[in-house]
Amino acid sequence: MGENILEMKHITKSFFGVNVLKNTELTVKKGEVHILLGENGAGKSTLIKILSGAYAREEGSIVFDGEKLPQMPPGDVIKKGVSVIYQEFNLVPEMSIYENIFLGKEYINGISVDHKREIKEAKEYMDKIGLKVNPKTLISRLSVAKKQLVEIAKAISNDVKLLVLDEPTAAITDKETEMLFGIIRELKSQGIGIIYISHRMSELFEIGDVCTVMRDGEYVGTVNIKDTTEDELTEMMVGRKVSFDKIENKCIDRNEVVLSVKNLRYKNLVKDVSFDLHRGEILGFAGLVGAGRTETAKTIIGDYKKDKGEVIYKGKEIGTDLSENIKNGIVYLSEDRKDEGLILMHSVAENIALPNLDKLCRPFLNRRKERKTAREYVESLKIKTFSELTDAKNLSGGNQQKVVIAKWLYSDADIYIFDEPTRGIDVGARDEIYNIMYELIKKKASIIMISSDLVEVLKMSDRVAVMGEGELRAILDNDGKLTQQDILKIELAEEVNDEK
Amino acid sequence: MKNKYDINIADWIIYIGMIGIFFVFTIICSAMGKNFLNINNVMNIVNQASINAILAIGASIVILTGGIDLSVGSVVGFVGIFLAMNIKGGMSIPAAIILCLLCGAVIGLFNGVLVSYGKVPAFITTLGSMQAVRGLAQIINEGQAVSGFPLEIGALMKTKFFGVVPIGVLYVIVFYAIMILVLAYTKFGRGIYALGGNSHAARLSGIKVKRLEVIVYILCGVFAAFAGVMLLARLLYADPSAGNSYEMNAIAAAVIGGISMSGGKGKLANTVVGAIILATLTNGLQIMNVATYYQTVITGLVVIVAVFADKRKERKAE
Amino acid sequence: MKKKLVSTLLCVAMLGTMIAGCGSDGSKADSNSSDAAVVDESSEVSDKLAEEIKAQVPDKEYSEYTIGFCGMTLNNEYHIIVANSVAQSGKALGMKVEIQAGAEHQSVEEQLTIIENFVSQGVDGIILVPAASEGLISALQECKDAGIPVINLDTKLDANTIKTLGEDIPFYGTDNYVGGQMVGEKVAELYPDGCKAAILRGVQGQTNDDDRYNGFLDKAGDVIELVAEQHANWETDLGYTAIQNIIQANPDLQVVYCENDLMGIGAYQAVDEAGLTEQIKIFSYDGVTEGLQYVIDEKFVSTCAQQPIEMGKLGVVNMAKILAGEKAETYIDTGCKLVTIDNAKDTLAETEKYAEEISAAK
Repeated sequence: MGENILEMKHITKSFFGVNVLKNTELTVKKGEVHILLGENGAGKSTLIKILSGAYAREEGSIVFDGEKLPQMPPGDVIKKGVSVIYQEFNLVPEMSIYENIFLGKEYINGISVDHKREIKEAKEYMDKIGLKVNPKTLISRLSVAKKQLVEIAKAISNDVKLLVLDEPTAAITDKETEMLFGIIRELKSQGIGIIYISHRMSELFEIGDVCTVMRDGEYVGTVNIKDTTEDELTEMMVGRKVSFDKIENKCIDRNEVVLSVKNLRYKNLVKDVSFDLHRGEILGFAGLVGAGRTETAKTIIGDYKKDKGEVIYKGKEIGTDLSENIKNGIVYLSEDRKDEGLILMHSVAENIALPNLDKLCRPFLNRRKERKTAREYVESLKIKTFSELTDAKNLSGGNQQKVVIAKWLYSDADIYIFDEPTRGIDVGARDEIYNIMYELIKKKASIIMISSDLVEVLKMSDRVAVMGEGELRAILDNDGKLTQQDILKIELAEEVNDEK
Repeated sequence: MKNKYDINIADWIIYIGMIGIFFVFTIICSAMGKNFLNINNVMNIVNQASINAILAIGASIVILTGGIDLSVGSVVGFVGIFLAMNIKGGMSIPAAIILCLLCGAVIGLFNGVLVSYGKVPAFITTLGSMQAVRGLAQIINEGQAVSGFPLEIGALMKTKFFGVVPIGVLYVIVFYAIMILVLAYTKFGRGIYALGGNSHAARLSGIKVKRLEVIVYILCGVFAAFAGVMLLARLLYADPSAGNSYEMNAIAAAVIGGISMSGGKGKLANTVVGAIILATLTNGLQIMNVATYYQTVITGLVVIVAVFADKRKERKAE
Repeated sequence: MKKKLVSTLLCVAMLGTMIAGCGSDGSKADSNSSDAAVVDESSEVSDKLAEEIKAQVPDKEYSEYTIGFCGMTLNNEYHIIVANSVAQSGKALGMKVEIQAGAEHQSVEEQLTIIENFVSQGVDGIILVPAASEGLISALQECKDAGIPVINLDTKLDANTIKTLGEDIPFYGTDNYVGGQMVGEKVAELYPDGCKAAILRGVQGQTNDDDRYNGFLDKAGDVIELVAEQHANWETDLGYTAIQNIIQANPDLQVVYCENDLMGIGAYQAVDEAGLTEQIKIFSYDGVTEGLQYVIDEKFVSTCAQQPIEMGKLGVVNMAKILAGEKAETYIDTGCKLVTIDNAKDTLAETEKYAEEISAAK
């Protein structure tokens, strides 16, 4: 292993006033496979996007191949020799392989594109990585694994010196993974630096040389893979034991099951999920992105039409009529505030009124009451807004989230499903949202809380349901002894009975 | 964060525009020795605007949901012929009118179901029904115009109150009053705005968005049918090509009135102003005897200016 | 659900036709024809018409010929009569007649497509009522190249078009200029001391609009004071609005000259609503049945009747001559007459008789 190909230092970035990267660093050597590890939201993607030029850094320096890189557009970064392969590929589906490889750098023969030369060279790049397909094949005809190889061929054609792979094995089979690893080793032997982002522990030990761990936008440390263990890495990801002041839940009534989900199935995303929710309980749902938590929630409320299974609420089976279920008091607070939670172009008051129009219309809308109610929630939830008539789009993320909560608080629901209730929200506002949840259970409501923040899960939940690949893998009692490592191990576990 | 004073000025822009146009026309016309600003002509303008104003209610609510309805002009033509044939054939006028409104509702239902449940884009659906309904209008009397029906139907448009106020003005006032109240003060009205603002969020807030969308298209069809009745009563002559390109005028009125084409934002009360501005332009320019093609140019420019002003207002607010 | 809807819609439409008591047996035209539905092709031809047509053409078997008729539009009575006349006359000779037309008065592009389709289908002759006097040159060139004879009815192709084409196209129609002059003379006769007048014109750019306008001014120009003129595109509602506004600007208006009856009907409604039927007199043009009825009811002072049926017959007869290898007449003025209260009833009866004869079997 040789000299450094990349040195990123003191990288800082914030969105809407929330710091997502704090003084982070990353150093990669030539011919090294460097694992970038961290929980969801640890800042890995943001760091990569700063490297690729997709985001502008606020502070910090990037030295690439001995040259200090100023802020430059992504196209120029690629020309320097940095290629990033995201999970969503950057290929034009209705164009052929060779056209994609030469997209933006076509060989021009007089006035027309020199197709022959492009096909010939594309074939050479493809041979290098063992991709045996006709270069004229359309991208849309290729499997995910092959598309990935096309991306790599494209990177090679760009004279890549540093290749970034974002969860490359998430959607391909074991055999394909083996092949990919072969290619990675080959590239490595050519002195190309590789940054490899993945959650799968077993993979890391197989392919990685060095590992950098990030947590909450901060650099935790860099270790040699052969000197470390799975437990050590997990602990680095989670951090030293945080003192959770898990408040004992006195409201829970373990004898009353308010919601019982049995063998719920929705396409390939929710596989036979079963669990019970008790009166006054906060049931945490942990899992990686794509584990099927959001889908489970949406299937319960009827937004997705279940294929199989039943949802029993207070002893009666409920159907898939979304508005009926909401009327019955089962509500879902989306993780996606902008697309699903709020109508950004409408005022705070109108947003709060939306699910509660039946209360406000008798039969005509009482606008004074609408405003008054909104004003009460603005005050009680400390929503920072110019007035209740301000459009929701003008509020910060945390305050928007509080508006979403206000909508449903006013609706006086029975079961609240919070999906990532504190994502993108600063620490102060988080506590306020936690307090609101406590208030809710005091009123005998029950809560399902989907969260990728394990600290939050452990702090709030009475029990923790852990999902992975659409399955509910375990329900753990949060009895004070439960640790983040326990949850993470289940989250990260390979599928036992792999259906592939 | 926007300041309140700002919003108010922006909200009044359309009225300022209308008054501006009246002002300019009054000056030019009086310089030419023509009479523009008097009660008779103002009533004349509103009367001329009335059919488009009624159509524009439908256009506005559909656009507020984020959709569009291109079929209304054809519905006007169809209803004209259908109504004329029915009363000529001896059906009583009220029954014939109700039947026509039902036809409008059925066409709206057809559009609405395709758009909401069928997920066909509104533009395509209503472009199709625009042509289909126009075809029906021609088929039912073999492309011939209809005349010689009882002329009592004319009372629906030719009645005047106090000798000056045409009944068309009354329709506009009544229907706008009802629909403005519905939009501002009912669950249905709020649902329309919510659907256009963010259909996901509306659905997850328990609004039955599909049913609501169908009802909106039905209403649009019924208003179009009523406009068809008004046109027949005004001209006392039913021509299968009547109402041609009326949908564009209705959409233009809504857009001038500041209804956002992407849905979710806009005031119905301003739509009627949009319709009046359009009628005022035709009226004033014809009084000045400006050549027809210049009128088209000027009207087009006004639509563009109105949309531009509206966009500026939006940008300012952000 | 959708099926249910479609059938409901159809039921409503059918209900309409039944109530009105004129159960059309529907169209047998193919789906790509824009308006062909209105011409009933299944009806039989009256013996009288068949005799009349056969007497005028060379003795020959015409049944293997197909001729295409490309109308201006099929949404007003006048043009429907022309189309029916062509269809029935063609049928009298046993020819196949394809009837197509644009959707609106101005649909030049549609006419281009229609003619191109005729050429590619290999029709033996085309009878054309152009939507605009210019703009069909490329289609006519195709006809010329394919050796398909074209006959022009009603609206004369622009002189430049003919010149560019380098081939004379037979034209049978009214001289709209002469018709305009007739109306002008009538106005000059009724208002020898002058009057304030307004003109409602058709679609800008069409020859018959210009001819009807210029002919009128030729005879009445010195007498009248022209206070306003507006293009109302031959349409009733636009005519209505325009006259309302013109009256507002000129309360002392005395004469309205409308270049077609549809605009005249709109104009009358506006005048009637203003309560000025005594003061403002309407002179119309075209002589469709509703227009003639308006003259009888003294809502119009006059209208200028053309001979749409005659045009259709002449078109087919001369097309037959060409197909039989004879020479067709290059120009026939089908003539027009000014219809006033004196001869309106007779003219209406005549038109209705002709119309009946044309659609004898209906």
